[in-house]
Amino acid sequence: MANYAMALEYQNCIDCRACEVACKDENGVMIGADKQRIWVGVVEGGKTLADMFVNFYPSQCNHCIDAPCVTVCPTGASHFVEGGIVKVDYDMCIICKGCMEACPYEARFVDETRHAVDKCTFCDGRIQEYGTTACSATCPTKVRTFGDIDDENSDIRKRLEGREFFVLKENEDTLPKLFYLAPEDEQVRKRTMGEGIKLHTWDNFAKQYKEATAKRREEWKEA
Amino acid sequence: MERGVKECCGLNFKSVSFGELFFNKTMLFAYLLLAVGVVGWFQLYGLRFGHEFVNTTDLVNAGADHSRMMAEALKEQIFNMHHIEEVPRQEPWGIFVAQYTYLLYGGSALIFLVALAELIGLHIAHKASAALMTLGISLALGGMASIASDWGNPLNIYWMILNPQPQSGMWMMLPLYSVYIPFTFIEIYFLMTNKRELAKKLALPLVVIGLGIDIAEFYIQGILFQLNDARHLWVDFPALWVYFLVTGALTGVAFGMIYAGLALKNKEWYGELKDVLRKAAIVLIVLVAIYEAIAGFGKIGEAPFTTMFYGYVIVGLVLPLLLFFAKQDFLASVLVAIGTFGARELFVYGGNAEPMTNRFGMGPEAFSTYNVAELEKVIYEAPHSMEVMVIIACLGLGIAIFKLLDTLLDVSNQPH
Repeated sequence: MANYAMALEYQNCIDCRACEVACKDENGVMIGADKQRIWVGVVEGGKTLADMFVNFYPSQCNHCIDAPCVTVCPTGASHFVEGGIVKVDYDMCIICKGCMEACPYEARFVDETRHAVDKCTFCDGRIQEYGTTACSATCPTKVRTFGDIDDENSDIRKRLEGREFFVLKENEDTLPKLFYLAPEDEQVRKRTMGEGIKLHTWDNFAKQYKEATAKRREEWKEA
Repeated sequence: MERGVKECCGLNFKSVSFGELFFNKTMLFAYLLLAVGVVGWFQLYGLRFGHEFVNTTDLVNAGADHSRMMAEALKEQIFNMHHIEEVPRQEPWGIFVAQYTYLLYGGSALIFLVALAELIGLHIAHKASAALMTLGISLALGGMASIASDWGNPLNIYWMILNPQPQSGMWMMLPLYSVYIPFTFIEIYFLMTNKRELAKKLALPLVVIGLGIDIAEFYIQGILFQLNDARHLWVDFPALWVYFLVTGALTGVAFGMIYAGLALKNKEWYGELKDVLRKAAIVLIVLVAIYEAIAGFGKIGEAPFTTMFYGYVIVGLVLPLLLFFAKQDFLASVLVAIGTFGARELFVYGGNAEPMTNRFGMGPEAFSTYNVAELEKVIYEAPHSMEVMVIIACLGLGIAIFKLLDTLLDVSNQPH
């Protein structure tokens, strides 16, 4: 059974937001700038013309292996499906918003058209047919690499094995599955990562992910 | 038995007219508060179920026939209509949850204190316990009405029964309150029943079980917040359930004092009750102050929470303490009631500040550090007027429930 994840070459992002549009179009997401399953964060910095910069941070639900949103859900609406994808059963959601509080990544929102909390699903219907998500497919600079991290021959595994990467809010112990590839250029790395971010290689990271996935796999329901 | 009193199931029910029951001064005041809430509830449910929200599929379909969907979508985009969004993403839990914790913890802690006073045999407890416990459960029910308004889809709550999730703090409240509310009414029943022999036999076990359930309630409420690892303020608070119990008790004592000042002034034991409540309030203020000094919200240290924190400390703790020493009990209690609501607001909104401040960015996106000052506008939005109206009504509901029980059962005049 696959274990889906995403690697992000975030230094390639040009903030065109084609991914946001593709996501909304593919999944019928609610209209509105704050009703997003995926987004691009923007940070500007520098004090003089010589050192001014703009960083772009594409992001979405991290489909954490130990997803706190699933733990706190009182009705079981938030759940795992095959591939380790975190989904919401709209019919079971009471919009208590506990999952929104529990999510460290601000990945959830209330979709008033569905009367339920909504979030990224890794395009779980689409990936069966096309093998990748709408945001990955549409990105003109190939920021996102989607795939099965348990498959040694997958593109995502090859990328992760060849590069250093970091995850968001590692100290929350959620084991997120969005892997941000550290820029190879030292200046870009310094400019975009801030201080103290812990970098990993696949070799030192894989063991805990495999163990945690094995524990959680029995909770994965049929998609 | 007095004239105009009918006994049923060991309780004395007063024979009152329809007008006396529903149109006395207190009920009229409660109706006024509820009327304010009706406007809020109408807006809330109109927004949830009456508004034509639009998604991209609607928009694509609408493009073909220029339907109203297109117009709605364009309007939302062009005018950036934030008010149509019922739940700001950065503040999933807002003033409804603040009100819920305020009234529910206040009411529950008052019940806890009354049970404790009964257990240690405090003389005044025997006289006032039925009234104060009824006040406590009325406040708790008012708090629950607030949270019920917050559910977007209350009808789906049956999934909590069909698909139990015992690992969830929120799910744990289902069995908890299924036991807690009936049990509290049983406690009140045995405080007021004519079956005195049975009541005496059961008094001790009931009080002990009641105290246990109260502690379990606060413990589960602590878990509810502390399961949110990302919200450092909630998680880092040591023994959160103790904090809830102590602050809730302060709110409960303040409501008890306000009630006593309004309704029990003519009782010969009013002075004695007031003394006990005042002493309890002073002790609780000191305990809350110690808690806040060691672990409190001051550590956030950034606007707008600094203002809210010191506002709560001054209005809810410092001024009332001085006034209690000056024996201005009623005014002190009103200030405590206002100030501790501020504490609940601060707790909910302050908790929400993390991690909503660092959804994007360099450095903090990985470390969950506070950076509140730069993003003040993002992390605090004043509650919508409809929400404020609903919470006013929930207080009115609590008052109405208490007054109905008092009119029918005369809880304020239970002879012991």
